[in-house]
Amino acid sequence: MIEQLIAGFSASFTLYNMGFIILGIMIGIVFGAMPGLSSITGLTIMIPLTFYLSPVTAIAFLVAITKGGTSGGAIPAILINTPGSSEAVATTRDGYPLAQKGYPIKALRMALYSSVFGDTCSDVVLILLAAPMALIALQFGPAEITALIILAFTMIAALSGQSLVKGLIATFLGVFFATWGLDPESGIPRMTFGVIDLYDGISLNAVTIGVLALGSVASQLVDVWRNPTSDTVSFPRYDKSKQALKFKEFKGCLRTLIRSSYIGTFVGMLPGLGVTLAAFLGYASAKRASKQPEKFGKGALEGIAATEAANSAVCGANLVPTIALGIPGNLAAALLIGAFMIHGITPGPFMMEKSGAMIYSLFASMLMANAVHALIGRYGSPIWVQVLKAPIGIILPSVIVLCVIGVYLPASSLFEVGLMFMFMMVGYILRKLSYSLVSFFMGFLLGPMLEHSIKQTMMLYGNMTVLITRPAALPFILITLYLIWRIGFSKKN
Amino acid sequence: MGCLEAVTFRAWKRDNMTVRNDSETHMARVNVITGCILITFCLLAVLWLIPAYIVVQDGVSTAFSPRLFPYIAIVSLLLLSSILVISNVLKLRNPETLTQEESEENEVLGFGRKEIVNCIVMAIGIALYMLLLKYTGFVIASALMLSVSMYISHNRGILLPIISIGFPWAMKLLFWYALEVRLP
Repeated sequence: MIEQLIAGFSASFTLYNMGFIILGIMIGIVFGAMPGLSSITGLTIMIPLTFYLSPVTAIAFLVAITKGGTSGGAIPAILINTPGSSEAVATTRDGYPLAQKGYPIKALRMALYSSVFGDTCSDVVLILLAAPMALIALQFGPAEITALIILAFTMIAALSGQSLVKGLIATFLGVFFATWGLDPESGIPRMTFGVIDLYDGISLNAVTIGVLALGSVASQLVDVWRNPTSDTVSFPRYDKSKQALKFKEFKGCLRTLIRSSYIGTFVGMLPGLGVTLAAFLGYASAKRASKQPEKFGKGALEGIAATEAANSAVCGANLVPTIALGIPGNLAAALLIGAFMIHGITPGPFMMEKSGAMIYSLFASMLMANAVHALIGRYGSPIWVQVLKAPIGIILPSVIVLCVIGVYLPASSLFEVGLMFMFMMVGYILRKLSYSLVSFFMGFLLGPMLEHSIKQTMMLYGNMTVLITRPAALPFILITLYLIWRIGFSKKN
Repeated sequence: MGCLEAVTFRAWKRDNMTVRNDSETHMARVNVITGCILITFCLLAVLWLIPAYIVVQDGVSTAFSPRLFPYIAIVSLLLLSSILVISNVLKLRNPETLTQEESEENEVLGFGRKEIVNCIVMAIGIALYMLLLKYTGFVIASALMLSVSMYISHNRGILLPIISIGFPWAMKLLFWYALEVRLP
């Protein structure tokens, strides 16, 4: 493994690759910090643009965007008490009070270094676990894969929204849209309505950008139109000489950082649990373990360290099921699966076997991205802070233009632009009706894989009862049933 | 004083509960309506869409019908939509079981007249933009879209013409010279 990693470093340590990692981190921070946007929006828009890059550079660039986005979200949380993303909500608890006390830069630095620490721990776990887990996954047959996908759908539907039934509805809606196009077995057109552009199925780019990026942009644009606000962003005043984060202070948070990194890594490996949960679990456990819990919520450095290390540790860990099983841990990982597919790589256990060198180059790029993240975050902070002042009414329409370009580029087709706008409407309606967009997207992404594994199971075993008779598939089905019973039938639902 | 506080608290709690119950009832109603729309869509798909648009040709022999998986997806959707309708009808009959649905940003969600109007406005805007893209090209269509979007989002200063014309033009030039890709 060490040799492969060294080979990965030598392959990816190029000026070209480094340039894109730096660009990715910067884009991630900007999108994470900018009002109304998130690193997911950035990732979604940038995926089609990576079409022109080599697979390693493209994936490293996209991973760098997610890494930058986690610390970018902490900037508005600390400075103006407005988290850039839901995972940064917990950061406001101690980040904002510390900024109000006159230490905004110190709070930002603690958030950045904690983020990089959590990220690095998580990447190390990914490097250690991906290959052994892929080896286990290689033993899985179609019955196990089917059971695993059903479990992933249920977990994501149960945990990403507020209603299991609505989550599953969104999932099956996504699965239904995924069946459009030519039947993979017979080549017979399915719901193509005579449109040749639909023969390859509904474009992943159009769905991704339409539902995830444009749906959110449209929703916010309508809100700005209906409820005009004239809030001007003002930052707390501070003494520049008192902003240094001493090594002793960072070392004092080391236990918290390690604990939160473990929590974030564990949460990241399980599909659907999400970054926000990791951040709150990290914060709660740090407060419980602290000798001075009364300081939490009043500007404790430990509080910032706990949340930022936990939410960033999800980043690498959610690639463990993605690389080993082909099943994404969260939305960012699902988008990366889309990017892998664009570059002709099929995520799953065979990926380590077929594209091992590329995967280790990616691991090396991830470790390099952490170092770059620390440097860019540290020295670029005066610029990132200014991003908060960008007017939302100019940013949102400009993002629409970028989305149009992003969808048009790979296929040079106006039909795909129209499809993207159609899915923007779908995204807007699902969002307003409180249906989980993550579930919809997972259904669309994993639908073809589910169809393939169900057909293979039926061909091999003749029926679907093997899902409960095969010992390796049964645990997945039992967990699924437990989740349905525990969450679907709980009184709250 | 204590009595006054108790009365004020009770009034606040009553008002708060009324608002909460209203939005919960509204969401339950919306769930019933969307569930019914989904059931109608599923029935249409089972009875018309799938049979009409997945034509199994004679002479093509496959282990499984190409209609199999779309049917699995749509029947699952039908069952789940039915559960959604039944559970929300039961909730409306027994208001104590109502729960408030919020997004991650704690925004109380719902779908009413305002959202329907928003959808119609968006659909008209998209249709116009697509027509302009086709007949006038990327720069003019995007410049118009940007200026309208910026105008309705209350950015009506000098930046409006600069960004709405400059940004699409810069993008067109950037993609042509950097990637040799011609935008529409």
